[in-house]
Amino acid sequence: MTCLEARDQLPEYALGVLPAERVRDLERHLEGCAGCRRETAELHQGVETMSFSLPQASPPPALADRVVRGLFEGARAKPSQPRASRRAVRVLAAATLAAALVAFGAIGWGVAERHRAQSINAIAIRRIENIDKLDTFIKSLGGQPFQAQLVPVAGIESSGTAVIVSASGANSVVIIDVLPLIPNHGPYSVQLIDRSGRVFSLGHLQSSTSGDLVFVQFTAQDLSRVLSVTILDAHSNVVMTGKVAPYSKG
Amino acid sequence: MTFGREGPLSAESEQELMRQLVAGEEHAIRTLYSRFGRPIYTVGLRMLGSVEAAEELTRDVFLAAWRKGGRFDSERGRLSTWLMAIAHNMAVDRLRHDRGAGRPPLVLVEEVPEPAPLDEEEVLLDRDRAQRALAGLSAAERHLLSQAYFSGWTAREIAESEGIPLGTVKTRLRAALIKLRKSEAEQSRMATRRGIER
Repeated sequence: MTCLEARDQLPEYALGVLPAERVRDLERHLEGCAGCRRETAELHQGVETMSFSLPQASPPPALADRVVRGLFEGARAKPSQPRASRRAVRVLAAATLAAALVAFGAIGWGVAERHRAQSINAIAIRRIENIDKLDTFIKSLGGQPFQAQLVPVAGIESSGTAVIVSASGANSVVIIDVLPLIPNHGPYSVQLIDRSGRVFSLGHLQSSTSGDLVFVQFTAQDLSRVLSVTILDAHSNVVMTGKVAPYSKG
Repeated sequence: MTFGREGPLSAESEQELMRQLVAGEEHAIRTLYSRFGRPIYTVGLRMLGSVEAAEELTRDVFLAAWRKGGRFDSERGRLSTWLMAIAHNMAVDRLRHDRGAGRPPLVLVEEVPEPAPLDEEEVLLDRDRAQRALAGLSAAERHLLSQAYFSGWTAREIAESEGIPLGTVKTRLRAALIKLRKSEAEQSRMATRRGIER
């Protein structure tokens, strides 16, 4: 799509009336064109002015609470019913992944080993087994362990677990295992947010041979104040999230 | 970082607020609602015509804001613009979905029913600026913009209804939106200058 073609459609796009079949192509153009994005932003400001020109209505006082509740319920909505039996098993998958690292000798990684992180992760992912070793692994890092149950947003089917260990040096680690998301809008990236609002944008989930999406990353960052774990899809939409709580075995 | 429930936020604060929203911080949700709940609800009420539909739209807009929060970039635009675009797009989608092939009666800006007045100075100032901006449009621009904004008509539908070329409709819609933006921006600048001089 050329800029000329894009700009011809921008007023309708800003007004939300551009036919859906043309929106995707236009948004693809906008992603790569700063000039057209600027024009879109200006047109959207015009639309905003229309919105504020309306005589303002008074929403019911209880609506604020309903919005908050709706948001929390939306985050927890529609867990995968048909896959619930798998979930019971897979919820420990992060633990198995950590154990795989143990089995592979990842404890006390040195600098040289960290350079091989990708290949080690890849191998570890293929060796998901031995759940009982997770605690050993966590203790060996000598840090503070946390976990988060990841729940999908409405319209997404999946479930998963994140384990975070905040340790000194470069021994902090984030381990995530989730069931394949349906519908799939990957690749999926991992984001942590701490209590001061700091965002840690980490890498992407990888497909394991078991079909799960997994993530392992060692870091020197202080992860002791992480509040939530969020999984974003290819368009940066939140697809899964979980609040961080102290780690409890099993 | 904490946020007041009134007054403009810096780009940095808006980005921070959205980070906290994505993290599921309740105070961030409430801050966002206290700032934008009313105009979003108003768009729902005026476009969809019932309290129930307006409430549902408001809830869904905040849910969408949370889901899409990672995409918000304060360098690309203001938070209010981003949120009101989500709200208006959702309202148009519902309007067009509910309407099916039929067309609702045209609702002109001046025909929108006037509710009980509000006493919040900031809300009144926002509306005053917006209405001044609207007054700067030609009758034709205002008419076409109302059809697209309130009724969710595409440029082609408007062209067929009005018997004017499609290109003319698009040109007028663009010109109208750009005029609104410029007028609003100019008034904001003047208001800021007056505030500094006071």
